[in-house]
Amino acid sequence: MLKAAMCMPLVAAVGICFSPAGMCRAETVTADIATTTESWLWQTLSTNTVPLALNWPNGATSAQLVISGMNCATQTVALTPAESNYMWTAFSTAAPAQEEVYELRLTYYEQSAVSAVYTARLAAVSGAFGADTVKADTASRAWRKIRNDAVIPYSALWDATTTAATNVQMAIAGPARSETLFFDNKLGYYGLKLLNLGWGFGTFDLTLSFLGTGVTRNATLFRSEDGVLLSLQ
Amino acid sequence: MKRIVLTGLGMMMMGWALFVSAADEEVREVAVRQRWPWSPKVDIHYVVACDPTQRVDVAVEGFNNGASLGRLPEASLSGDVYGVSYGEHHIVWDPAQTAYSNTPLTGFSVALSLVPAKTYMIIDLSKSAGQEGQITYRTDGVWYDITNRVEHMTTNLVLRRIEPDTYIMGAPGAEIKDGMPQTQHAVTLTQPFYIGVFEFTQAQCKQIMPSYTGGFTVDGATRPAEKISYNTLRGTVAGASWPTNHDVDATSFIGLLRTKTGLKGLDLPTEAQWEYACRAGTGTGLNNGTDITNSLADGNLALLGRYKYNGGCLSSNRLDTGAVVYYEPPVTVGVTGGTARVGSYLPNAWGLYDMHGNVTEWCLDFYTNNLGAAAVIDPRGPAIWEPFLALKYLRMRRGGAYLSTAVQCRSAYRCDASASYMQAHDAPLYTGFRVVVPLPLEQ
Repeated sequence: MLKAAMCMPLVAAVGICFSPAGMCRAETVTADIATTTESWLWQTLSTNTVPLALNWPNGATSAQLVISGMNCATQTVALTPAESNYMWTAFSTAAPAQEEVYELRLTYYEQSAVSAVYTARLAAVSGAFGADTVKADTASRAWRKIRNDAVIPYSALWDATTTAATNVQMAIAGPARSETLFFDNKLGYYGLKLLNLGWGFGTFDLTLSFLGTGVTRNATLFRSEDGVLLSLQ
Repeated sequence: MKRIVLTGLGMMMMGWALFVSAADEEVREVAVRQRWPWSPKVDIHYVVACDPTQRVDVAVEGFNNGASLGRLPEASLSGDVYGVSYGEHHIVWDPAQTAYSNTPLTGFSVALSLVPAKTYMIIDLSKSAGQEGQITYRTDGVWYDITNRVEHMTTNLVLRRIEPDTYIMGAPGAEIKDGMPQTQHAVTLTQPFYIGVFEFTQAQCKQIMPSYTGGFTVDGATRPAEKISYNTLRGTVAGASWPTNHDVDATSFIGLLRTKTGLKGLDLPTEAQWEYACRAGTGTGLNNGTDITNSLADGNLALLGRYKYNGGCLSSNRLDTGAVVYYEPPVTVGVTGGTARVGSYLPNAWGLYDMHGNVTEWCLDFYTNNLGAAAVIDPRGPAIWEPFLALKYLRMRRGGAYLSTAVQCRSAYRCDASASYMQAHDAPLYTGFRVVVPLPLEQ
């Protein structure tokens, strides 16, 4: 019997593990030995509790897990070799109250020396927990409008001219400050946090560069001063 | 079915057991995200859990704040919509190709439904576009008893779906060959398409053009249409535009067929599509996994199609030498000579008949002598016509015909058409066609 599935939160837990190469994810339901980390579903949370598998390097005596995000308090967790996994609660509700990009950093120590460091970036986006906002008219003001924090996707796989990119770079030129970010993977999410970070109000010019191809994508956003908070639909 | 899967990638992961039953196809982990602020396109990522031997199509229904938008138009979807199997998949929705291009969707979600892949499209040519029952589908793997029903060669047009893949076009060095170069090169076809199971028959032609005459007259209804030129098929004005676009003259054969079926993308196959469909996964000279052993008469070919030495030509002995000579039969010859009824010989692995022999089949592409060795994706042939001697506007033909030798009937054999063959009044016998309908359907 063929079943239909809505875009709804799942009950099944998601297992996460770290890789020095960047993002990684393991699923209790995903099946394909050829699955790679260059995959949206690897970086998109679909549940609120995430079991993080820990594989201790030889000689490691302790570990520290730091989880930060745009809108959540930074969590720091001390771990010991007796623990083979850590159950991370990303948010307490079935769906996140607002979109978020989490940065995870797991540091293994051998006594006081750093033994290994692993990182991961995971996103909680509205479209994985229900519904997304689709602004189809790129010429409208609504398309350019940005209020506070935003989760911005990037991918070298959107177009055939950029699939060969070695890495992706995002440059953000805001009214009061600029930033250039370098991503070591071909696709993912970036959490642009605007509140209280001196970005200012006005026009933001974004440039996405696909290194190794010479191809760039551009976008212009406008941040108004109406102060309305972005809320998850 | 139990399957253990590992996530790999040098990660320190455990394996999980995934229990999947053959009747338990399921869509999981649907995630929707617009490419804002870079593009209005929407990515739909999902996971299919099913038996890995199964292939299914995906129907996408859109919702805005819970209210159904209906099934999203197939023409606005690209990616993994057709013939998907287990694992992660990706569909791209382009709202600019729908009625929602100016309407923000504040709570957009999708429901994905899996349906069995529609392997065969059956078009009732006695009905008009939109008429109930004009287009139906079957989900058989290969429809082997299709030849038992004559209506599938007369009033119905039956097409078989071909899934996209990469294949090697051309012939290896060791293959007995003739004619223009058949340089091997990798071809990737990115979109599935339907292709006629049979060559278009005379009866089917008359459903579209009642005035059509051509081909062998005895039992002509189920014998392939012949003496039909490229210009008659596509027209000389809009129809000359390939590869720029798929336009055809409205009064051309394909123009009339598009009007009758409502299938705006219906057309001749490209050379790449034709050879891919002919081979059906084989890399040999013939599509049953064998090679010809003689350039003239060959027992392997004799099983697959009508050609010169298994009835295509008549034979007699010369009075002076006693040598056997072969000659083209009159149009009044029965089905044991000239063309055979379509479907008289063995099909290939995808259930396509008469890809070798019977009539050569028109392709869309302009003539070019050598396709080269470079890998290509969805090739459309040269952009402009390439002159051959003093001739011009040549298009390609494939497959060989009832008066061809074995070497001329191979999967890789390429044949152009002299300019006069392009003209309706000079179109030769032994040249016919079959049609394709690309996916997504344009209706």
